[in-house]
Amino acid sequence: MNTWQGDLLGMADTACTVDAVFEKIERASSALGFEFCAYGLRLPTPISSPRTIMLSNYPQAWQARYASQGYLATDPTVAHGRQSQTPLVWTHAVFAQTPLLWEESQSAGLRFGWAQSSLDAVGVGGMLSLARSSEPLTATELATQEVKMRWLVNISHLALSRLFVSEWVKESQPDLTSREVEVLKWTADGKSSGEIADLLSISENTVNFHIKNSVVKLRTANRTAAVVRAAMLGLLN
Amino acid sequence: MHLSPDGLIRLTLDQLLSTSLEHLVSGVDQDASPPFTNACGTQTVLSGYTEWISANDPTISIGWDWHLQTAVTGVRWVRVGLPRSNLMLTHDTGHDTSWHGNLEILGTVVDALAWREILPDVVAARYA
Repeated sequence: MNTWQGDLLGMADTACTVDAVFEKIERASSALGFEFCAYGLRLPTPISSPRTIMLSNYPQAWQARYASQGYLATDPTVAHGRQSQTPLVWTHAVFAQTPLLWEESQSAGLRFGWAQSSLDAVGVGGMLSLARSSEPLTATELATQEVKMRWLVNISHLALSRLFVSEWVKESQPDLTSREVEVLKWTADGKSSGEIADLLSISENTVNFHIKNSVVKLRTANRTAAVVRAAMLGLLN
Repeated sequence: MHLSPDGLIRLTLDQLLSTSLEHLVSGVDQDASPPFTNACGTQTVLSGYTEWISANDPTISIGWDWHLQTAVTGVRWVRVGLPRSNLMLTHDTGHDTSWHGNLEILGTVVDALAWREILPDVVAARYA
């Protein structure tokens, strides 16, 4: 397949550099009628300051302005993406609480846009934004193109997360036993060691033994941090 | 897009992504995982199936299994395994994709459909 879809499928299966992957995403965005695209990838840990990777062909001046003003923290499209995987079309109403950000992005040529986030099984979040300087998105365009745009979101996440996440997952996937996972699940539900012992028909000492092992394997300081980390890694699903 | 003598509909990925697919039917699996227990607090798994079709002729059908997964942000609807379909995706040269590769690519298409957005209401309505 030598269409933009074929290009993207190929890159999801083979080793590519980040630049090569983003180049193909740019090509796909252009084929879908958007001159600008940006992809943000967020690793779930460390929780206090999750690592975010940004790739973009937005105008350099706008990228610098966005970073210097800390717009990532207030951007309503990013906030939406953290809560929902439903696509979002940029409108005045979406940016009602951030008029300066809206005004400045419009001035930078990012006038009409669409964004959708994705979240995978290990808790890695991504968001693709497609934008252009003219022609608002119409209902007809969305009816015919949105599945392709949503597919681009998924395949981009697949390709980029393979590059960024594989090492992180390798480092952070502890070898928990099924019993340890079970005990962590009940702990996550707020059960005490005594209550878990009753539920699983084992002794409280055994429960604490499993929790202690989990804390060590997850490289955390205590049971609360272990539960949070395990949940973030998708190990309790 | 055409129906082949082997019963499969052949089309390219671009053609498939340009085809409107609509929800046909969804259901929840019966809990058949023994041992059955009525103990309070027992963990359970909610899973089911769904099938989507095209309005045009020949009718494209894609079905897949799903289950509910608890996540940090709430409950997520997750596709389980590869889809089932009467489709064979072809390369631009007209050659077939391998069957497994075909289903893998169809999986990426399923993940792009808005099924997670409509299934909660569809399933709730069916079992109301």
